[in-house]
Amino acid sequence: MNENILELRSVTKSYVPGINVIEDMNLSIRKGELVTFLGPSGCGKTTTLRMIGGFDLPDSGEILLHGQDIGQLPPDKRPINTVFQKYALFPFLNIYDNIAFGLKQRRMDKELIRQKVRHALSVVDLEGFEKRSVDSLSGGQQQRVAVARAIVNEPEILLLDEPLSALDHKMRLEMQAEIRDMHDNLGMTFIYVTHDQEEAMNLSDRIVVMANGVIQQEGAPEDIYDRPANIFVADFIGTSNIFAGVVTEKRRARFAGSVFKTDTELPPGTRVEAMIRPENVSITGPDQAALKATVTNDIYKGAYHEITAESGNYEVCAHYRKKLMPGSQIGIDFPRESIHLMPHDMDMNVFEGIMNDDGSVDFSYFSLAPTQGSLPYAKPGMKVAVSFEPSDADLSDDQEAGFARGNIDTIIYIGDHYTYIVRGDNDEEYYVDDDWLWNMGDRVSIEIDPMKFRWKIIE
Amino acid sequence: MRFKRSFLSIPYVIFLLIFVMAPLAVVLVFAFTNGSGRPTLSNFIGFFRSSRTIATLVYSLFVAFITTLVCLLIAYPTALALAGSGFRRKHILLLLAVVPMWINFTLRITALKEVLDAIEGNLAFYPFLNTIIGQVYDFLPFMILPLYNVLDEIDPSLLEAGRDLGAGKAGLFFSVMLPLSKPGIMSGITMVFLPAMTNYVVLDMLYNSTFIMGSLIGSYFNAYDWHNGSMISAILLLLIALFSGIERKGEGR
Repeated sequence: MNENILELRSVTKSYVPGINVIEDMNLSIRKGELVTFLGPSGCGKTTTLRMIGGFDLPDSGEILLHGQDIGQLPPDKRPINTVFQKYALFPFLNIYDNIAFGLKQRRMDKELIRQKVRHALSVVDLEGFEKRSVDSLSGGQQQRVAVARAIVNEPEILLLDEPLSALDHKMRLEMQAEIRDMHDNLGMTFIYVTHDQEEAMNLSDRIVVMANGVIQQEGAPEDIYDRPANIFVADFIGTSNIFAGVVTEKRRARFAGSVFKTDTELPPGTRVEAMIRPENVSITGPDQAALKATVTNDIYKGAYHEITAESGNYEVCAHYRKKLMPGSQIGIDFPRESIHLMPHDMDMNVFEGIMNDDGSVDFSYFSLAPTQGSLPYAKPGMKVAVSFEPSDADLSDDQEAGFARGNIDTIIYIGDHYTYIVRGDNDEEYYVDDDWLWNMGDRVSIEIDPMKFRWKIIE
Repeated sequence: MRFKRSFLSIPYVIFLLIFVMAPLAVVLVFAFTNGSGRPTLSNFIGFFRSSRTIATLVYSLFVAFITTLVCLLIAYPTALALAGSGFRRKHILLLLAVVPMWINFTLRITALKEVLDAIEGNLAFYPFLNTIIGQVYDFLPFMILPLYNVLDEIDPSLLEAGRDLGAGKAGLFFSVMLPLSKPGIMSGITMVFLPAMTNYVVLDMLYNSTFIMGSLIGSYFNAYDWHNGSMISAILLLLIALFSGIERKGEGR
């Protein structure tokens, strides 16, 4: 069971030069696994599936099936079958002929085809439907036929592209259970694409969370839920309270206006996002906890009350067994083991702007021109992003020296240097490492070697 | 009296009565009467006894068949190329393919006649070839249009499903493309085969010596033999109804 059936190595794909739909993707899938690609629309999950199926070819990188590169083979040469989003059943064939299609293409013996089709129909629970036409079937039944049509070929891997998205909620839950059963009985490797996190949770052995063509995290459903790798994953999967903060000393972090004990191994000074699931928030009397809060809302959810409370500028969502009147004072605490800290790397020093006709780019707070060759495919009117590392920038008290200006908002001492958060005039944040000690509120400009900017086309 | 929606059909019903039903009735009456106005079946029997009418019928069917076949062979790849073209405004390409329809039909055939005359030296050298060229030139757009409409609408995921299930390029064409385009092929055939059987203008101008069904009717009427002319019309009508019936059954599946 530990053998890798499929491996993606440095797979990159773009439809428009300069914009990568999939960027340097590496992924291994084990034989017999049910893996889900989960992400919002446009995250590249369907493109990845299409490359595995052979409908799109990668620009670079390898797709290995049992160690053999199949990346450039057409779909009919791959032992992989697909269940399409809108089923794609052939309307001119009856159910029997739809399912037999793949076997007939392989010129299999008629009697053998008959046995296999009958077996496939029994797997999807549609015995006796052979002569029916496609139009006479309900959505759920068509879905089953689509599955039967794919599995009858006994593929090494079955791809399912949001197969349940056209069904209603109740039907979807039923089909999820059936797909799970089918997978367990057939022992086939399933790769499933969905944007529905609940569906991914219900079905998967392993979830691959994707955003912007990059894998954000892969792991078992519990891993992804309890220990999201970054705020994107935390936010996308389930509801969560997320606070920006910093590790202040060993196993302590400051966020939401207080300092909490945590289990983190991250070194002091690390900028983090703290995530606490609502069901883990503990509610106490007003003066018995780290945070004092006022209840603003109470929604009854059957098994619990969903409480929204305000503590200073922070809003906290919590599950509680009793009703709490809006306006009442409570105390809020985050138990040590329920605090999950994630290094803050998502959108530090990333700014988006539109390219002008003269090749310069207007950002909301400043204007820059990309250095020669740093954005070869960009054209005027395109949306581009620029980013820089805190360590590449420096602070200056000469207002004209840097490309952007602001006041020092936060100072974090990290052993040998300070990290400053500079708040710009439009409330934007710049993270800058500097060896010198500045004071809170100092007016500074941010200097950087233009070659150190990283540019990227967004769309 | 309250206005009913069905009243809206009154103008059409009147039109139908005057210009379709009445002439049809006249044709049928003439077909089954003789010169003195007595009912008779002799026109009907005469049609099948006369070797000339039967030969013309067979010849018409043959010309129509060849015309339809050639049209289909040219139109299918054309429509496929048009529908599959990545050109953003592909309806303009389609327009270019059907724009000959905008020019008066007789004018087109007259021009074609001159062109063929110039190439072949004398039209009489290849009378049959000329007829087919003329007919195909005339009817091709009627084959391209329905085929384009069907091919353009084909859900690409069905083609992907075909490839996914192991069909190679040829297999995909015969097992997926062709069945999916069948409605377009059928309506293209209707649009070409039936008119091609009776269209005598092309023959008259490009192939003076032989008759097609349309010209046969014309020749009877020119000789003031309304009864035999009407009988041929009635039989043609029957044939057309028969073809349409077969075709509808084919489409109905």
